[in-house]
Amino acid sequence: MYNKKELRKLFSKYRLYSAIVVILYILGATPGFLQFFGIKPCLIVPFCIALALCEEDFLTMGIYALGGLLVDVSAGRISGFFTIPLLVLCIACMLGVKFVFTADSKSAFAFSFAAMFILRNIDFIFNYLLFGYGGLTGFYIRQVIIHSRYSALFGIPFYFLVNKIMDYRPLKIDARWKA
Amino acid sequence: MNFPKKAARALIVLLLLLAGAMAYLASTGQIISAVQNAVVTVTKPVMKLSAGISNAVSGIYDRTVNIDDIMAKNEEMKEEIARLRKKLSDYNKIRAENKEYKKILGIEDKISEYDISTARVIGRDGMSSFWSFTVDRGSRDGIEINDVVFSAEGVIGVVTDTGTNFAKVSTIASPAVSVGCFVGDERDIAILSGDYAVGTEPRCIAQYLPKGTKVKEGDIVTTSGFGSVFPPDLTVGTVESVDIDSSGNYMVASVKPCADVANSKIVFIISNYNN
Repeated sequence: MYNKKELRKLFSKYRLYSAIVVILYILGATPGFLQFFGIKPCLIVPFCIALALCEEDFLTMGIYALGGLLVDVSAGRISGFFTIPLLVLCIACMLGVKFVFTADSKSAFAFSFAAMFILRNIDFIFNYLLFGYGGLTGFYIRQVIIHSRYSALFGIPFYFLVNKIMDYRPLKIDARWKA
Repeated sequence: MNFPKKAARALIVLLLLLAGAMAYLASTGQIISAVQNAVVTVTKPVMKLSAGISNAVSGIYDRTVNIDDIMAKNEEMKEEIARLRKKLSDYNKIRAENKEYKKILGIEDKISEYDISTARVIGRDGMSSFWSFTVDRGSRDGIEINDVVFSAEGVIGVVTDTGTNFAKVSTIASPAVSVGCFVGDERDIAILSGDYAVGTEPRCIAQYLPKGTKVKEGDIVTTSGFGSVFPPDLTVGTVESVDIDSSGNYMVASVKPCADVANSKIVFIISNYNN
Protein backbone atom coordinates (compact mmCIF):
# COMPACT_ATOMS: atom_id res chain seq x y z
CA MET A 1 0.00 0.00 0.00
CA TYR A 2 1.07 3.64 -0.39
CA ASN A 3 2.48 5.67 2.49
CA LYS A 4 1.20 9.16 3.30
CA LYS A 5 3.68 10.99 1.08
CA GLU A 6 2.99 8.71 -1.85
CA LEU A 7 -0.76 9.13 -1.37
CA ARG A 8 -0.37 12.90 -1.54
CA LYS A 9 1.66 12.60 -4.75
CA LEU A 10 -0.88 10.15 -6.14
CA PHE A 11 -3.84 12.47 -5.55
CA SER A 12 -1.94 15.41 -7.08
CA LYS A 13 -1.04 13.34 -10.12
CA TYR A 14 -4.60 12.14 -10.68
CA ARG A 15 -6.00 15.61 -10.14
CA LEU A 16 -3.62 16.73 -12.88
CA TYR A 17 -4.73 13.91 -15.20
CA SER A 18 -8.40 14.75 -14.56
CA ALA A 19 -7.74 18.41 -15.30
CA ILE A 20 -5.97 17.47 -18.54
CA VAL A 21 -8.93 15.32 -19.64
CA VAL A 22 -11.36 18.18 -18.95
CA ILE A 23 -9.10 20.68 -20.77
CA LEU A 24 -8.88 18.32 -23.74
CA TYR A 25 -12.69 18.10 -23.77
CA ILE A 26 -12.91 21.90 -23.86
CA LEU A 27 -10.27 22.20 -26.59
CA GLY A 28 -11.89 19.43 -28.59
CA ALA A 29 -15.22 21.24 -28.45
CA THR A 30 -13.80 24.70 -29.33
CA PRO A 31 -15.23 25.65 -32.72
CA GLY A 32 -12.58 25.61 -35.44
CA PHE A 33 -9.72 24.45 -33.21
CA LEU A 34 -7.47 21.93 -35.03
CA GLN A 35 -10.16 21.63 -37.70
CA PHE A 36 -9.02 20.80 -41.24
CA PHE A 37 -11.35 20.10 -44.16
CA GLY A 38 -14.26 19.86 -41.75
CA ILE A 39 -12.63 17.19 -39.54
CA LYS A 40 -11.82 17.82 -35.87
CA PRO A 41 -9.82 15.29 -33.88
CA CYS A 42 -10.88 13.56 -30.70
CA LEU A 43 -8.20 14.40 -28.12
CA ILE A 44 -9.48 12.46 -25.10
CA VAL A 45 -9.10 8.93 -26.48
CA PRO A 46 -5.41 9.29 -27.51
CA PHE A 47 -4.65 10.79 -24.09
CA CYS A 48 -6.34 7.88 -22.30
CA ILE A 49 -4.41 5.40 -24.45
CA ALA A 50 -1.11 7.22 -23.74
CA LEU A 51 -1.96 7.03 -20.03
CA ALA A 52 -2.66 3.31 -20.34
CA LEU A 53 0.70 2.75 -22.02
CA CYS A 54 2.67 4.59 -19.33
CA GLU A 55 0.82 4.16 -16.03
CA GLU A 56 0.57 0.77 -14.37
CA ASP A 57 -1.71 1.94 -11.57
CA PHE A 58 -5.31 0.75 -11.84
CA LEU A 59 -6.54 3.97 -10.31
CA THR A 60 -6.33 5.32 -13.86
CA MET A 61 -9.64 3.50 -14.45
CA GLY A 62 -11.32 6.56 -12.97
CA ILE A 63 -9.60 8.79 -15.55
CA TYR A 64 -10.63 6.49 -18.40
CA ALA A 65 -14.23 6.55 -17.13
CA LEU A 66 -14.21 10.36 -16.90
CA GLY A 67 -12.72 10.62 -20.38
CA GLY A 68 -15.29 8.19 -21.76
CA LEU A 69 -18.19 10.12 -20.22
CA LEU A 70 -16.93 13.36 -21.78
CA VAL A 71 -16.56 11.64 -25.16
CA ASP A 72 -20.20 10.48 -24.79
CA VAL A 73 -21.32 14.07 -24.15
CA SER A 74 -19.36 15.48 -27.07
CA ALA A 75 -20.61 12.77 -29.45
CA GLY A 76 -24.20 13.15 -28.25
CA ARG A 77 -24.41 9.48 -27.29
CA ILE A 78 -25.95 7.94 -24.20
CA SER A 79 -23.66 7.78 -21.15
CA GLY A 80 -21.65 4.60 -21.27
CA PHE A 81 -21.79 4.13 -25.04
CA PHE A 82 -18.14 5.09 -25.47
CA THR A 83 -17.18 4.87 -21.79
CA ILE A 84 -17.46 1.11 -21.45
CA PRO A 85 -15.49 0.19 -24.61
CA LEU A 86 -12.89 2.88 -23.86
CA LEU A 87 -12.40 1.49 -20.37
CA VAL A 88 -11.97 -2.03 -21.72
CA LEU A 89 -9.60 -0.87 -24.50
CA CYS A 90 -7.42 1.10 -22.08
CA ILE A 91 -7.15 -1.82 -19.65
CA ALA A 92 -6.32 -4.09 -22.60
CA CYS A 93 -3.57 -1.64 -23.69
CA MET A 94 -2.21 -1.52 -20.17
CA LEU A 95 -2.04 -5.30 -19.95
CA GLY A 96 -0.71 -5.59 -23.50
CA VAL A 97 2.17 -3.24 -22.78
CA LYS A 98 2.87 -4.95 -19.47
CA PHE A 99 3.12 -8.48 -20.88
CA VAL A 100 3.57 -8.33 -24.67
CA PHE A 101 4.29 -5.00 -26.34
CA THR A 102 6.77 -2.17 -25.81
CA ALA A 103 5.53 1.27 -24.87
CA ASP A 104 6.96 3.91 -27.20
CA SER A 105 5.70 6.67 -29.49
CA LYS A 106 5.00 4.23 -32.36
CA SER A 107 2.85 2.01 -30.19
CA ALA A 108 1.14 5.16 -28.84
CA PHE A 109 0.08 6.01 -32.40
CA ALA A 110 -0.84 2.42 -33.26
CA PHE A 111 -2.91 1.81 -30.13
CA SER A 112 -4.57 5.23 -30.40
CA PHE A 113 -5.55 4.47 -34.00
CA ALA A 114 -6.81 1.01 -33.05
CA ALA A 115 -8.87 2.39 -30.15
CA MET A 116 -10.35 5.23 -32.22
CA PHE A 117 -11.06 2.86 -35.12
CA ILE A 118 -12.87 0.40 -32.86
CA LEU A 119 -14.90 3.13 -31.13
CA ARG A 120 -15.88 4.80 -34.40
CA ASN A 121 -16.85 1.45 -35.88
CA ILE A 122 -19.06 0.68 -32.88
CA ASP A 123 -20.72 4.09 -33.37
CA PHE A 124 -21.05 3.52 -37.12
CA ILE A 125 -22.65 0.09 -36.70
CA PHE A 126 -25.13 0.98 -33.97
CA ASN A 127 -26.09 4.48 -35.10
CA TYR A 128 -25.95 4.34 -38.89
CA LEU A 129 -25.52 0.86 -40.42
CA LEU A 130 -28.26 -0.81 -38.39
CA PHE A 131 -30.73 1.89 -39.43
CA GLY A 132 -30.29 0.83 -43.05
CA TYR A 133 -29.22 4.20 -44.41
CA GLY A 134 -27.77 4.13 -47.90
CA GLY A 135 -24.69 5.79 -49.38
CA LEU A 136 -22.52 5.20 -46.33
CA THR A 137 -19.15 4.62 -48.02
CA GLY A 138 -18.09 8.26 -48.18
CA PHE A 139 -19.35 8.83 -44.67
CA TYR A 140 -17.36 5.81 -43.41
CA ILE A 141 -14.15 6.98 -45.06
CA ARG A 142 -14.42 10.49 -43.60
CA GLN A 143 -15.95 9.86 -40.19
CA VAL A 144 -14.25 6.58 -39.34
CA ILE A 145 -10.96 6.09 -41.19
CA ILE A 146 -9.73 9.65 -41.68
CA HIS A 147 -11.00 10.83 -38.30
CA SER A 148 -9.33 7.87 -36.53
CA ARG A 149 -5.98 8.50 -38.20
CA TYR A 150 -6.07 12.22 -37.50
CA SER A 151 -6.96 11.67 -33.84
CA ALA A 152 -4.31 8.96 -33.45
CA LEU A 153 -1.56 11.46 -34.37
CA PHE A 154 -2.12 13.15 -31.03
CA GLY A 155 -1.24 9.90 -29.23
CA ILE A 156 2.44 10.66 -29.81
CA PRO A 157 2.67 14.06 -28.06
CA PHE A 158 0.37 12.82 -25.29
CA TYR A 159 2.68 9.84 -24.73
CA PHE A 160 5.61 12.21 -24.18
CA LEU A 161 3.44 14.44 -21.99
CA VAL A 162 2.44 11.57 -19.69
CA ASN A 163 6.07 10.44 -19.45
CA LYS A 164 7.08 13.98 -18.47
CA ILE A 165 4.41 14.05 -15.76
CA MET A 166 5.54 10.68 -14.44
CA ASP A 167 9.19 11.78 -14.36
CA TYR A 168 8.34 15.07 -12.65
CA ARG A 169 10.03 14.71 -9.27
CA PRO A 170 7.28 16.15 -7.02
CA LEU A 171 4.83 13.59 -8.49
CA LYS A 172 7.14 10.63 -9.05
CA ILE A 173 6.14 7.34 -7.39
CA ASP A 174 7.74 3.94 -7.91
CA ALA A 175 5.85 2.01 -10.59
CA ARG A 176 4.44 -1.20 -9.21
CA TRP A 177 1.25 -3.23 -9.24
CA LYS A 178 -1.08 -2.04 -6.53
CA ALA A 179 -3.43 -4.63 -5.03
CA MET B 1 3.18 -11.29 -12.14
CA ASN B 2 -0.50 -11.95 -11.24
CA PHE B 3 -3.31 -9.66 -12.31
CA PRO B 4 -4.24 -7.85 -9.10
CA LYS B 5 -7.49 -9.33 -7.80
CA LYS B 6 -8.69 -6.11 -6.19
CA ALA B 7 -8.08 -4.21 -9.41
CA ALA B 8 -10.02 -6.83 -11.39
CA ARG B 9 -12.91 -6.64 -8.93
CA ALA B 10 -12.86 -2.82 -9.07
CA LEU B 11 -12.94 -2.96 -12.88
CA ILE B 12 -15.90 -5.35 -12.91
CA VAL B 13 -17.80 -3.20 -10.39
CA LEU B 14 -17.09 -0.06 -12.45
CA LEU B 15 -18.23 -1.74 -15.67
CA LEU B 16 -21.43 -2.97 -14.01
CA LEU B 17 -22.13 0.52 -12.62
CA LEU B 18 -21.64 2.09 -16.04
CA ALA B 19 -23.82 -0.52 -17.74
CA GLY B 20 -26.51 -0.02 -15.09
CA ALA B 21 -26.39 3.75 -15.52
CA MET B 22 -26.62 3.32 -19.29
CA ALA B 23 -29.65 1.04 -18.95
CA TYR B 24 -31.34 3.45 -16.52
CA LEU B 25 -30.78 6.45 -18.79
CA ALA B 26 -32.04 4.50 -21.79
CA SER B 27 -35.20 3.53 -19.93
CA THR B 28 -35.92 7.15 -18.96
CA GLY B 29 -35.12 8.50 -22.43
CA GLN B 30 -32.21 10.63 -21.22
CA ILE B 31 -28.75 10.80 -22.74
CA ILE B 32 -26.74 12.92 -20.33
CA SER B 33 -26.05 11.58 -16.83
CA ALA B 34 -25.74 13.68 -13.68
CA VAL B 35 -21.92 13.40 -13.69
CA GLN B 36 -21.66 14.65 -17.26
CA ASN B 37 -24.17 17.42 -16.56
CA ALA B 38 -22.07 18.55 -13.59
CA VAL B 39 -18.78 18.53 -15.51
CA VAL B 40 -20.15 20.38 -18.53
CA THR B 41 -22.04 22.88 -16.33
CA VAL B 42 -18.84 23.72 -14.46
CA THR B 43 -16.72 23.99 -17.61
CA LYS B 44 -19.27 26.06 -19.54
CA PRO B 45 -17.66 29.47 -18.76
CA VAL B 46 -14.30 28.20 -20.01
CA MET B 47 -15.94 26.73 -23.11
CA LYS B 48 -17.55 30.10 -23.82
CA LEU B 49 -14.20 31.84 -23.43
CA SER B 50 -12.49 29.30 -25.66
CA ALA B 51 -15.20 29.61 -28.33
CA GLY B 52 -14.94 33.42 -28.13
CA ILE B 53 -11.17 33.33 -28.67
CA SER B 54 -11.54 30.89 -31.56
CA ASN B 55 -14.22 33.06 -33.19
CA ALA B 56 -12.04 36.17 -32.82
CA VAL B 57 -9.07 34.41 -34.43
CA SER B 58 -11.16 33.08 -37.31
CA GLY B 59 -12.63 36.57 -37.77
CA ILE B 60 -9.14 38.06 -38.12
CA TYR B 61 -8.21 35.25 -40.52
CA ASP B 62 -11.31 35.89 -42.65
CA ARG B 63 -10.66 39.64 -42.78
CA THR B 64 -7.05 39.19 -43.91
CA VAL B 65 -6.86 35.95 -45.95
CA ASN B 66 -10.43 35.52 -47.24
CA ILE B 67 -11.12 39.18 -48.04
CA ASP B 68 -11.54 38.48 -51.79
CA ASP B 69 -14.20 35.81 -51.11
CA ILE B 70 -15.97 38.17 -48.72
CA MET B 71 -16.00 40.97 -51.31
CA ALA B 72 -17.37 38.61 -53.99
CA LYS B 73 -20.06 37.38 -51.60
CA ASN B 74 -20.91 41.00 -50.79
CA GLU B 75 -21.59 41.68 -54.47
CA GLU B 76 -23.76 38.53 -54.72
CA MET B 77 -25.76 39.67 -51.68
CA LYS B 78 -26.36 43.10 -53.22
CA GLU B 79 -27.79 41.51 -56.37
CA GLU B 80 -29.96 39.19 -54.25
CA ILE B 81 -31.29 42.19 -52.26
CA ALA B 82 -32.23 44.02 -55.47
CA ARG B 83 -34.05 40.93 -56.76
CA LEU B 84 -35.90 40.43 -53.47
CA ARG B 85 -36.94 44.11 -53.31
CA LYS B 86 -38.77 43.65 -56.62
CA LYS B 87 -40.48 40.53 -55.23
CA LEU B 88 -41.41 42.36 -52.02
CA SER B 89 -43.65 44.90 -53.78
CA ASP B 90 -45.58 42.01 -55.42
CA TYR B 91 -45.80 40.25 -52.04
CA ASN B 92 -47.19 43.34 -50.28
CA LYS B 93 -49.88 43.69 -52.95
CA ILE B 94 -50.90 40.04 -52.70
CA ARG B 95 -50.88 40.21 -48.90
CA ALA B 96 -53.21 43.20 -48.87
CA GLU B 97 -55.61 41.43 -51.26
CA ASN B 98 -55.47 38.28 -49.11
CA LYS B 99 -56.36 40.30 -46.03
CA GLU B 100 -59.42 41.75 -47.74
CA TYR B 101 -60.61 38.33 -48.95
CA LYS B 102 -60.26 36.92 -45.42
CA LYS B 103 -62.33 39.80 -44.06
CA ILE B 104 -65.06 39.18 -46.63
CA LEU B 105 -65.13 35.42 -45.89
CA GLY B 106 -64.82 35.83 -42.10
CA ILE B 107 -61.61 33.77 -41.81
CA GLU B 108 -59.50 34.39 -38.71
CA ASP B 109 -55.77 33.66 -38.49
CA LYS B 110 -54.66 31.16 -35.86
CA ILE B 111 -51.60 32.73 -34.26
CA SER B 112 -48.77 30.46 -33.11
CA GLU B 113 -47.41 31.35 -29.72
CA TYR B 114 -43.84 30.65 -28.89
CA ASP B 115 -40.91 32.20 -27.03
CA ILE B 116 -37.60 32.91 -28.72
CA SER B 117 -34.30 33.08 -26.89
CA THR B 118 -30.79 33.79 -28.13
CA ALA B 119 -27.95 31.33 -27.59
CA ARG B 120 -24.25 31.19 -28.41
CA VAL B 121 -22.55 28.19 -29.92
CA ILE B 122 -19.90 27.12 -27.41
CA GLY B 123 -18.87 23.73 -28.70
CA ARG B 124 -18.46 21.83 -31.94
CA ASP B 125 -16.83 18.50 -31.27
CA GLY B 126 -14.97 16.17 -33.61
CA MET B 127 -16.80 13.09 -32.32
CA SER B 128 -20.19 14.49 -33.25
CA SER B 129 -21.40 13.99 -36.79
CA PHE B 130 -23.29 16.23 -39.17
CA TRP B 131 -22.13 19.50 -37.59
CA SER B 132 -24.07 19.10 -34.36
CA PHE B 133 -23.08 21.55 -31.66
CA THR B 134 -23.56 22.72 -28.08
CA VAL B 135 -25.20 26.01 -27.05
CA ASP B 136 -25.00 27.95 -23.78
CA ARG B 137 -28.70 27.70 -22.87
CA GLY B 138 -30.21 24.73 -21.05
CA SER B 139 -33.15 23.49 -19.00
CA ARG B 140 -32.67 26.30 -16.50
CA ASP B 141 -33.43 28.77 -19.34
CA GLY B 142 -36.59 26.90 -20.39
CA ILE B 143 -34.98 25.01 -23.26
CA GLU B 144 -36.46 21.54 -23.86
CA ILE B 145 -35.83 18.64 -26.20
CA ASN B 146 -37.29 19.22 -29.70
CA ASP B 147 -37.04 23.00 -29.42
CA VAL B 148 -36.26 24.39 -32.87
CA VAL B 149 -32.97 26.21 -33.46
CA PHE B 150 -32.67 28.74 -36.27
CA SER B 151 -30.71 31.79 -37.37
CA ALA B 152 -31.66 34.92 -39.29
CA GLU B 153 -31.06 32.98 -42.54
CA GLY B 154 -33.12 29.90 -41.72
CA VAL B 155 -33.63 26.70 -39.78
CA ILE B 156 -30.51 25.10 -38.32
CA GLY B 157 -31.76 22.14 -36.33
CA VAL B 158 -33.43 20.88 -33.20
CA VAL B 159 -32.42 20.43 -29.55
CA THR B 160 -31.75 16.75 -28.84
CA ASP B 161 -30.63 16.89 -25.22
CA THR B 162 -30.38 19.44 -22.44
CA GLY B 163 -28.23 19.95 -19.40
CA THR B 164 -28.69 22.55 -16.68
CA ASN B 165 -27.09 25.36 -18.66
CA PHE B 166 -26.27 23.83 -22.03
CA ALA B 167 -28.05 21.98 -24.81
CA LYS B 168 -27.00 19.69 -27.65
CA VAL B 169 -28.35 20.56 -31.09
CA SER B 170 -28.60 18.21 -34.07
CA THR B 171 -28.68 20.01 -37.38
CA ILE B 172 -30.93 19.48 -40.37
CA ALA B 173 -27.86 17.99 -42.11
CA SER B 174 -28.31 14.91 -39.91
CA PRO B 175 -30.36 12.02 -41.37
CA ALA B 176 -31.88 11.57 -37.90
CA VAL B 177 -33.63 14.97 -38.11
CA SER B 178 -36.71 15.08 -40.35
CA VAL B 179 -38.51 18.28 -41.31
CA GLY B 180 -41.93 18.44 -42.94
CA CYS B 181 -41.64 21.08 -45.64
CA PHE B 182 -43.15 22.80 -48.66
CA VAL B 183 -41.00 23.07 -51.76
CA GLY B 184 -41.27 25.63 -54.52
CA ASP B 185 -44.05 27.92 -55.71
CA GLU B 186 -46.53 25.03 -55.92
CA ARG B 187 -45.76 24.17 -52.27
CA ASP B 188 -45.25 20.46 -52.92
CA ILE B 189 -45.09 18.51 -49.68
CA ALA B 190 -41.82 16.74 -48.90
CA ILE B 191 -39.81 15.35 -45.98
CA LEU B 192 -36.38 16.93 -45.60
CA SER B 193 -33.48 15.25 -43.83
CA GLY B 194 -29.70 15.20 -43.93
CA ASP B 195 -27.78 13.76 -46.84
CA TYR B 196 -25.29 10.98 -46.07
CA ALA B 197 -23.25 11.41 -49.21
CA VAL B 198 -21.75 14.65 -48.00
CA GLY B 199 -18.39 16.25 -48.56
CA THR B 200 -17.25 19.14 -46.43
CA GLU B 201 -20.52 21.12 -46.61
CA PRO B 202 -23.92 20.39 -45.06
CA ARG B 203 -26.56 19.22 -47.51
CA CYS B 204 -30.11 17.93 -47.19
CA ILE B 205 -32.50 15.96 -49.37
CA ALA B 206 -36.21 16.61 -49.75
CA GLN B 207 -37.86 13.26 -50.40
CA TYR B 208 -41.27 12.03 -51.54
CA LEU B 209 -41.89 14.84 -54.01
CA PRO B 210 -44.58 13.84 -56.49
CA LYS B 211 -43.39 12.61 -59.87
CA GLY B 212 -44.99 15.43 -61.78
CA THR B 213 -43.48 18.10 -59.53
CA LYS B 214 -42.53 21.45 -61.02
CA VAL B 215 -39.79 21.99 -58.44
CA LYS B 216 -36.62 23.36 -60.03
CA GLU B 217 -33.21 24.65 -59.07
CA GLY B 218 -33.42 27.82 -56.98
CA ASP B 219 -36.82 27.09 -55.43
CA ILE B 220 -37.21 27.89 -51.75
CA VAL B 221 -37.94 25.20 -49.16
CA THR B 222 -39.95 26.22 -46.09
CA THR B 223 -41.27 24.33 -43.08
CA SER B 224 -44.86 23.13 -43.37
CA GLY B 225 -45.64 22.90 -39.64
CA PHE B 226 -46.69 19.25 -40.03
CA GLY B 227 -45.26 17.06 -37.28
CA SER B 228 -45.69 19.71 -34.55
CA VAL B 229 -41.95 20.17 -34.04
CA PHE B 230 -41.06 22.86 -36.56
CA PRO B 231 -43.32 25.92 -36.76
CA PRO B 232 -44.61 26.66 -40.28
CA ASP B 233 -43.12 29.08 -42.78
CA LEU B 234 -39.53 29.04 -41.57
CA THR B 235 -36.99 29.12 -44.41
CA VAL B 236 -34.98 25.94 -44.69
CA GLY B 237 -32.96 26.11 -47.90
CA THR B 238 -32.83 26.32 -51.68
CA VAL B 239 -33.11 23.51 -54.20
CA GLU B 240 -29.86 22.66 -56.02
CA SER B 241 -31.03 19.77 -58.18
CA VAL B 242 -34.00 17.46 -58.68
CA ASP B 243 -33.77 13.80 -59.56
CA ILE B 244 -35.85 10.63 -59.46
CA ASP B 245 -35.35 8.51 -56.36
CA SER B 246 -34.13 4.89 -56.28
CA SER B 247 -37.66 3.43 -56.15
CA GLY B 248 -38.72 5.36 -59.27
CA ASN B 249 -41.97 6.47 -57.62
CA TYR B 250 -40.96 9.88 -56.26
CA MET B 251 -38.65 12.78 -56.97
CA VAL B 252 -35.83 13.83 -54.69
CA ALA B 253 -34.42 17.33 -54.41
CA SER B 254 -30.96 18.17 -53.13
CA VAL B 255 -31.28 21.19 -50.83
CA LYS B 256 -28.63 23.62 -49.65
CA PRO B 257 -29.52 25.01 -46.21
CA CYS B 258 -29.86 28.80 -46.11
CA ALA B 259 -28.47 28.98 -42.60
CA ASP B 260 -24.73 28.55 -42.05
CA VAL B 261 -25.18 25.20 -40.31
CA ALA B 262 -21.45 24.44 -40.05
CA ASN B 263 -20.25 27.81 -38.69
CA SER B 264 -23.13 29.59 -36.90
CA LYS B 265 -21.98 31.42 -33.80
CA ILE B 266 -25.26 32.91 -32.54
CA VAL B 267 -28.58 31.11 -32.89
CA PHE B 268 -32.20 31.51 -31.78
CA ILE B 269 -34.21 28.86 -30.02
CA ILE B 270 -37.98 28.57 -30.13
CA SER B 271 -39.34 27.21 -26.87
CA ASN B 272 -42.91 26.46 -25.85
CA TYR B 273 -43.96 26.17 -29.49
CA ASN B 274 -47.73 25.79 -29.34
CA ASN B 275 -49.62 25.59 -32.61
